[in-house]
Amino acid sequence: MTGRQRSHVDGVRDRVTSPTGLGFVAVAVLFVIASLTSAGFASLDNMSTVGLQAAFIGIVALGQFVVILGGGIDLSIPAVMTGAGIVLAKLCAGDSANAVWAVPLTLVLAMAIGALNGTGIAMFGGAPLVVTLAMNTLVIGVLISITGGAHAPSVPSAIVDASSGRIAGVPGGVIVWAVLLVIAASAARWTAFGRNLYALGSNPTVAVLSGARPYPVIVSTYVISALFAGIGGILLSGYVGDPYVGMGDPYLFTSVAAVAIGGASILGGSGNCIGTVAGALTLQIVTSLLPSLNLSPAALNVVYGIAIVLTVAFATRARSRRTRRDIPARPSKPEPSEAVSG
Amino acid sequence: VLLLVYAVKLPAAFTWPSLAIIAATGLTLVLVAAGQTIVVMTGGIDLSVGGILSVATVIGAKQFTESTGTIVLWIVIIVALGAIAGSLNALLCIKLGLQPFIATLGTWSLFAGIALWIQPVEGGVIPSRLLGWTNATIGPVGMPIVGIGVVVLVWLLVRRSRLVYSLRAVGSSAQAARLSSVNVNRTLLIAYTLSAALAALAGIFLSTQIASGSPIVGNEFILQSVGAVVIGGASLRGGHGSVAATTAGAYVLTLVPSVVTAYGFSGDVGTIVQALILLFAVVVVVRGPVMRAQLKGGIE
Repeated sequence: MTGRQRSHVDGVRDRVTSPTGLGFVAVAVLFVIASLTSAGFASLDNMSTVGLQAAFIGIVALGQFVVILGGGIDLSIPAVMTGAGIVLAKLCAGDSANAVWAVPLTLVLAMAIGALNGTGIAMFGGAPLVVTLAMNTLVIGVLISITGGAHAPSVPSAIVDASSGRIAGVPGGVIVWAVLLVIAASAARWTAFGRNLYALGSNPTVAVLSGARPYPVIVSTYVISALFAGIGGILLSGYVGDPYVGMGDPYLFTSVAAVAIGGASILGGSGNCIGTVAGALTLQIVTSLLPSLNLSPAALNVVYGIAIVLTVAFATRARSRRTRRDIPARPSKPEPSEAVSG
Repeated sequence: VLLLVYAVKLPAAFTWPSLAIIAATGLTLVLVAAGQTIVVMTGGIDLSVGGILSVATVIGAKQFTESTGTIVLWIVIIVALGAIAGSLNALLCIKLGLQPFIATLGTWSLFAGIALWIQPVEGGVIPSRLLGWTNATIGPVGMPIVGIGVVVLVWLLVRRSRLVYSLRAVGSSAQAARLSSVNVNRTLLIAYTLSAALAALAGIFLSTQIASGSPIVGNEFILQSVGAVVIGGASLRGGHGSVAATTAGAYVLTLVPSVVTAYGFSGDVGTIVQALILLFAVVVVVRGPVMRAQLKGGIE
């Protein structure tokens, strides 16, 4: 018991300092590289474009983070994003006035998908990976039936403005991202839900014994993730204009990658939602950087892969050094070679 | 669980009399999913199989010529490269202590990039000699059926071996396995290497099916291979799994779209049914062991 408590204290210190910090160091380094190699990268105009694109990753990664924190994973994010964009475009039929009721309705539908995910996982004990994956396939199948594979009609101008329109140079998407971050960060720190989530993610048995109710908490994480994916999908459709099936696909990879780069453990129970910001920015700066360096999508894939492995490797080492004594299964033998390879 | 799987499978087999074509459609997935089963047994997951599969098809499309020697040589090289890629996965998990999901997510991106770099678009030619091999028949039995026979047979032969016990032991509890003198790191190394080598082999076979190389063709097989493993009754938490059952699972996934379209629905309905079966399987997989335990008097 004392070991677990100590681990929690360590965990708090851990969150404040190392893995997330590493993520931001990566962002800073990348930013310097980007400014030096590509003229105009640091211009206000370009920064707000990069920021907006990072916001799409950041918002859905925030939802992914909440699920991962509780020990799950949500692979249905791409379908929910795509679905939100398409359903909204259909409901609005090009008229901005309809957005007033269409946006909430779309988000409620998204949350319903999340609730189904959560129910399948928490009540029926399905593996999160498979349940959300099947849900992704299911929703995409439905979407193809609805659209016949074609582009949906354009979203109304109100949505475009909400996403790309700028207030004092800051795109609307970035503002939404910031607001969601503040809410998530406060909720994680000061609500019972946030504390239960950390507890459930690190050790479900102990959490339940100490009075956490697992089902509502776990189901909520998937609802939150779907809600954020819905918001991200609506903003993204405002950015691309006319949403299409496949619009959300890149975000399967980037949402998980952003969480991992942000220093959260993919096994749950540790991490900081601010870390997802570092993850989203890292991924987006790398993406924005490549065209100016004349690199192909092939190189993007390679760089993504190496970036994920390296960042997570550093974060894992930093974390395991702090909490090694509390994680019995951690292999201690390879330590010398770790030092060499680092 | 298996019975259920076959119940789904049988009517399908009746609607599609030409078994060889069915076998050929599913063999790629069977090979990938067999490797995936081995990794899942250890409690891991291998997302990089998609990248490796793509790399294998593009190398094949670039390097194969009509000469038998060249073909055999490059098959060996491709499978060896796959094995190296797999050991890279294992090293990331073992030496750097990365979670398999993240490590192979990274290497998937890496390998997919390499595939795009080798050949940015679909294309290349697969020599007719190699196509001839995979379409050949031994007596009345087509090569793909033989291929599946070999996969299942090899599994039946090795399933009681030390290696498979080690795989299961590591998957159930790495610590307990280590205490009972199972070499955990070596077992993981073997698992990821086998998985990647099988994915490379699957890539070669797939290239004979699509008769070209494609840098993105592997991606759909990542999630399908995991799906096949789950329908086959394995737990993603590790410790269980059977390649034979996975083979059945792979065919459920392969056949569902054909069956659904055969009944006159469009392709996307097939996708939806696939997803529903997967969801159903997850629930049954979880309930199955519980019920079996009750039948045995609750000993498990």
